[in-house]
Amino acid sequence: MGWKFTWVSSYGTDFNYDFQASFTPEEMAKGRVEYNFDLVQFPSAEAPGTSVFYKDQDGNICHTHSACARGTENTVNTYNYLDYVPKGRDEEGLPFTMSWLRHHDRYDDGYLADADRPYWPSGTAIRSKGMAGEV
Amino acid sequence: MPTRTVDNPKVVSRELWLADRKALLAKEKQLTRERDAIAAERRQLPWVKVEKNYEFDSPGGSKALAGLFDGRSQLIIYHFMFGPEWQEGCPSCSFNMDHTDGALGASRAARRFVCSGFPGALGQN
Repeated sequence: MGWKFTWVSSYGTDFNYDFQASFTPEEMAKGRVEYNFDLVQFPSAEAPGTSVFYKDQDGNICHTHSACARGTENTVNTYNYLDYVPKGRDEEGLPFTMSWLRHHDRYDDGYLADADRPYWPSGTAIRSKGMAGEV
Repeated sequence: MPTRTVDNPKVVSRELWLADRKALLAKEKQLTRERDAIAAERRQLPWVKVEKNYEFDSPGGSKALAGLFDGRSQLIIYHFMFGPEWQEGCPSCSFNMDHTDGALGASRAARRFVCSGFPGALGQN
């Protein structure tokens, strides 16, 4: 995707589970998961979030903050631009607010916001109205 | 609140526009001050000590959480939706990350990492 930031993988660790960005099959089977500091229905075993940590000079690490769901919008500057224009985000009527989005190298292959295309793999999620925008 | 202004716009004189714009500006200023106040409150939240030793796979090999700070005191991790069985990462997360490279100039203040549960994501840049 041409990004310059650094990826790391938490595969095999509790990290994403401890910070409520991934849910176990057992949690998903219960129908409600702990997300955004609440027990909610969530359509996917993976969830968006931003977590912040501080390390002092002795090497102690503390978790200081986490933002989830629409709390992660703060870093999406495109929304700030869209909020300036008359049509706004123009997301009414979509199955979930961000369903018009594509990977940045796929906007030129002819499709617009096709409402029926889920972006999580089948079998890992329950389709429902409302993604990050409503939880 | 009407959501589709473009279907039925109200076109007025510059003078009338200015009056409404100023009224909205007062609310915008209020929001700006409230955002500052909430950010200050956020900075004053208590902290929780991380007791577990998390080990991440990184392009440079295995790294502990402490190693991700890379000499800095503050670390921001974005949890990118990219599960082990997924074929590709979440488009909405990708959209968010499209905004992150531009913010890397601020990395003197905090180290930023994007984290996912998918080992293959290491090769996705």
